[in-house]
Amino acid sequence: MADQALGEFEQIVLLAILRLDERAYGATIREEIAAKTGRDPSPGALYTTLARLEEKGLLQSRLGEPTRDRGGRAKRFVKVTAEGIDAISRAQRAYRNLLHGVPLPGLSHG
Amino acid sequence: MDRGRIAEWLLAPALGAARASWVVGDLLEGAVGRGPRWFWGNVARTWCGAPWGDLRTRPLFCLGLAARGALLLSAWLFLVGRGRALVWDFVRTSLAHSRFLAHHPKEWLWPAVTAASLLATVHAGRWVARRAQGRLLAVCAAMALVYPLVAFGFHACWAACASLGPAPDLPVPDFGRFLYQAKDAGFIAAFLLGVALLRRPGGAAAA
Repeated sequence: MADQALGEFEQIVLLAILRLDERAYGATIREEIAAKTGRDPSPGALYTTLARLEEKGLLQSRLGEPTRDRGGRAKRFVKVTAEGIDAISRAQRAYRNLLHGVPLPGLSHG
Repeated sequence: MDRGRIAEWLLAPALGAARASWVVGDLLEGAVGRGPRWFWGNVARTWCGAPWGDLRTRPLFCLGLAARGALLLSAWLFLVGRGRALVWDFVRTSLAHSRFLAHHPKEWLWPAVTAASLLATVHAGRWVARRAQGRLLAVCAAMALVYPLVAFGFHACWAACASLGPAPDLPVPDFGRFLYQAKDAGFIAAFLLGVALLRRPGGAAAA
């Protein structure tokens, strides 16, 4: 997976997972995205994106312990792989390069 | 039966059994303090959103499987049609002395043909469901798009081949027939969904 092009929502999901670190699973990722971006992603879109990122090798997942408030269902924790970190870094660098020198209100430029 | 099991049963065709389990767990957890309306609203959003996402991200898989399923279904229905024609020819020539059989073909052939067509549809549905890898709803949606084209092509090929022989007994495909097949596709997509949903909630899912 040398050069993974990431869509906007994929980048948002990857960044939310990186922020959450060990606590990243469906419900917390969704809450993090809602809290930081103000948009409430549809669960269908989020889980499809998580599956796609895992298929691309940018995420890996593991099942946690079943808990009572989830009706005895396990959490599926996700973690960004080294390839995922590489892909998100590249995508963000591209954004930063494009932003550089563009006067947008509320953004500071290096 | 608790709402989690019902939701899991509803979401299994859209997400696959394993994914549906932890997605429902997430939704149950999120519903604490928000109520059943939030929970069911999100089940509905997941149910609608997942097939669309699968169609966008795995179009070749969904359309390819739908095309193969449509081909299988067309072949089955074609065989049912041929079987009906053979039986009817046999009855006309060999059992002409029986007034009822010879003069009321629809009455006695219809139940058998309908049953055979339904069995063929169920078989095609299960064949697709076993291969859908948790994307059954997306494949059903793709099937609704693809089936009219495949069935139309199938009939066009048959009519072209039959016209080389002595007596073509199928009508030449036209746009009216195409629309007729398109009308069927909605029924078939719903039927495939019915096949997938014919499972005990919370039990092992085929999809």
